[in-house]
Amino acid sequence: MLEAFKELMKDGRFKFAFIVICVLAFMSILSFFSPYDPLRWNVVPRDRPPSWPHIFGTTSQGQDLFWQSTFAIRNSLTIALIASGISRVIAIIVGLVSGYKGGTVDTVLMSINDSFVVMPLLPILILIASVIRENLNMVTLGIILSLFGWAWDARVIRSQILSLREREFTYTAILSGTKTFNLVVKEYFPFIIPIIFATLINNMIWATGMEVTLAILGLSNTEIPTIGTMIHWAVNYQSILLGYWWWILTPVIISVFLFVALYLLSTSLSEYLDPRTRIQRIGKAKE
Amino acid sequence: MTNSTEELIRTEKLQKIFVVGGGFARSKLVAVDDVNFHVKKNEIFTLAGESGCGKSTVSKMLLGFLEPSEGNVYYKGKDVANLKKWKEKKGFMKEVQSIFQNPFETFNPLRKVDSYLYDTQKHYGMSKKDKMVEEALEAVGLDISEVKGRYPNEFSGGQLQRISIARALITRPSLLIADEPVSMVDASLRMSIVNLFKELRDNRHVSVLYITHDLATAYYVSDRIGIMFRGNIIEMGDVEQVLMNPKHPYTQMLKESIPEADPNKKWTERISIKELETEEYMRKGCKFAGRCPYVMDKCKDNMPPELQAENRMVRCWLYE
Amino acid sequence: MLNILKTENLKSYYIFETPTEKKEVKAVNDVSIDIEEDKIYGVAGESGCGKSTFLKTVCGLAEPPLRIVGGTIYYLVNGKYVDITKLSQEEYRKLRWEYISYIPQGSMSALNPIIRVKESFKDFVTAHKKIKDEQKDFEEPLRKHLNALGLPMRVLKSYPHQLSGGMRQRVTIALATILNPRIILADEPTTALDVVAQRAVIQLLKDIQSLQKNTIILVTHDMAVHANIADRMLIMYAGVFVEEADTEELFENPLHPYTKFLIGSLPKMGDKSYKVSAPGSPPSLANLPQGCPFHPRCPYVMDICKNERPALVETKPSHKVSCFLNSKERIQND
Repeated sequence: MLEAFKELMKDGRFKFAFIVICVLAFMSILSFFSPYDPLRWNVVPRDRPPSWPHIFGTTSQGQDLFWQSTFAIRNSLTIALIASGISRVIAIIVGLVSGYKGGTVDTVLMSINDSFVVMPLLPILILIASVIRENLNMVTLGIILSLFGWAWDARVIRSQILSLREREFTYTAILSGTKTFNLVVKEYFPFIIPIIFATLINNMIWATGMEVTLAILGLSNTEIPTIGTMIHWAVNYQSILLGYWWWILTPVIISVFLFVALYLLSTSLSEYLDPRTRIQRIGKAKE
Repeated sequence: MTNSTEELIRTEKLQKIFVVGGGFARSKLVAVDDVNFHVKKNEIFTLAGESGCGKSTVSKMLLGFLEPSEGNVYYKGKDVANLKKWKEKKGFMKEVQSIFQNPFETFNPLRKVDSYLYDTQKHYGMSKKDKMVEEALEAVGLDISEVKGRYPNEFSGGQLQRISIARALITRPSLLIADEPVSMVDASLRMSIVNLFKELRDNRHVSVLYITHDLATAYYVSDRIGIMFRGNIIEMGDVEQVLMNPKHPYTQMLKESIPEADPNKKWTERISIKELETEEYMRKGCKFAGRCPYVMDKCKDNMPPELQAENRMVRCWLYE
Repeated sequence: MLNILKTENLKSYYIFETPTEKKEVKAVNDVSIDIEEDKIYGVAGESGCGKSTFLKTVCGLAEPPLRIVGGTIYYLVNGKYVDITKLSQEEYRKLRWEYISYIPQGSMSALNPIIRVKESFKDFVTAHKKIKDEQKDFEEPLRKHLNALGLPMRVLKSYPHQLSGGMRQRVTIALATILNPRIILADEPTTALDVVAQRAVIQLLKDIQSLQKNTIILVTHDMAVHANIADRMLIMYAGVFVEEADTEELFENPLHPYTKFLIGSLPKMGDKSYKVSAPGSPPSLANLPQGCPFHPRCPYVMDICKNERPALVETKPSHKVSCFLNSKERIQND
């Protein structure tokens, strides 16, 4: 594990991504030490540009931007992790079963899968969100997003399984007496792990993007501070027009860093985990 | 007459039809048709033929990886063509093991090679104390220290193929099905693997079903041989008889076409192949009629049955 | 006899560089050879010994990670020897296919699968020659070429997937030779084919050679194929040529211990006597032993073999070998 980490750190992209994510994670943890309650307004002087002690400035609602951001990052990341985590589990199960079993099971699962793929996502989310707006806390939002995030990746996993099933080592494993479940886990998982990681991170980017979109449209629970809701309020209060650039810029810059870091993490990790490059690395120590 | 104590595996009227294409453009490809042969105890039987003749399809059906469209496979008298229960399948696999053509694909490149050996030992109810893995590796001329903890890409093709054979031997099978085991191994290393088959038959009482297109090694190692052409076995018998004195025109042409590793014995006659492969497969009657120098009218419409001639089976109207 | 291809101390390596290390696979490791015109050469050796790399290097197809690290390659162009390693891409492109053509391994899949065979031929020819009158400059020569090679005209109208493996290979060879190249490099042209198709391909190559009077360098590990077609043979081991002789001479009197093993282990029809392969396995080209590359497996190894590499010297007329055993004997006989 440690060796893998050291190897990865040599890749500039991973290094940058790792540092940024560490910083963001640190900020999320800081939220537990916030001197201000994020749900209350007018706890600090309003519309102050960045200066000590409000290093990111303050909003028109009288909230400290720095401490708001810590909550925002924490909540956005939570939503993203819940959404992508649950959707991974669904995608893996569906993809594995469909790919290995084939036949009727495959046909049925893929029909369900495809219906989810073609569903117009944004209108449905808007519909759901506007109906249950008040009860839309982070966990609920995460779960709803996860229900829409698995379909595409399930197909990707399925096609990988389909091709693996025809490779000769599948037959060797069967002849070795390995039962189906163990076979799939021991033989195929090492090939699927890079896909899972890459799609996890991509899914996080997507989920965050969705959350931001819904928030800007005013459809999520705008009281809970997230990156999206911060942008929502900044836009709502005409912050750009009024010249309170720190208010709109803070969440935007944070989200840019978050997205770029996640993207770089995804590409550097999947390159590292790709079976083809892994095979070249294996056994190198022995030469 | 089946002598179930002498015979290990037997096929009866084995057939496999593949449906090619979809929608309105479907056609049937008869990959294997009316195949009848058996392998006895302590023998090496070769199923020979050019690529595309159906021999790999036969081996997949024997192992249960493919369901026959028609016909039966019997192992020691029991029907094994359609085993459904895991316990039955495992019981069969304990007796009948297989190795494959591509040694680099036989093992998962991301797993250590010895893990397959230990898996086999574990799944077939043997404990580590029995040292089955070490013994099997010894049987193929390898030491456990050369193999332990290493990945497939650290070995040569020949070594991987030996490890594959070792894995198959752990269950103490009675029959080893070897599907083109040396075609991807270098010419200079082939004989050591082929010699291993002889040793398995003589010293370990393992029969081998050797599937190949290389008639030279087939001659060298087998007792009996069956020649396949476009899905049928067209000649079968003792290897000395069939290969040294072939009766079917295809076997004769095959034998003529084997290049001799002797510069003084070059081919003198010319051959001409004019027909496209798919045309041959779709033929009614004898599939070889398009190229046969002795073709008669009868051959084009009627598939010849299995006839007996001079100590072997021949599928040819010439021997009616 | 003119030499139409010469290499001097040719070295081409696969170089892999990662942030942590540099790996050099010495696929062609100091090779000096003269190839005569109007002859069929057979290059034999195990897979991974460098023979395919040698072909690729010699016809200018060395692409990273494969690089020519040293030495020269000469073609005989218009009566003069030209070092192709010094030519630019443009200059070299004009030479290729008209001077030297290359049939890569697995080239059966080299035909464009979505156009008919005739179109593939057309694409190929027009890339190298101007066609003014389609009938005279393209159709006629094409028909004559296929006829001379015994290929049915029907293949022109077919798509590649409709042809059998053997037929596709023959069509690929016809394609590579339609411009009458002076050298034809064929890399394992018969490997994936069955015996009958193999025979047809070998027959085809012989026909082309006698028609066009060019040189064929055929690479395959199948010694029986060499026995049937090669005039002169080269045995390659771990990136170097270890023996060179006319085919009959090589089969009857192999001098290098590796060649002896190679020939002794060949199964023959009608002969059930015990055959033995060479012990051990070939070395990794990234990690070559010092001295003679064969010495770890050689039953006649001497001290000098472990430290020095023997040169390829002529020990009998027209028979070269790279082995201290033979030069020692020669010194003793002198």
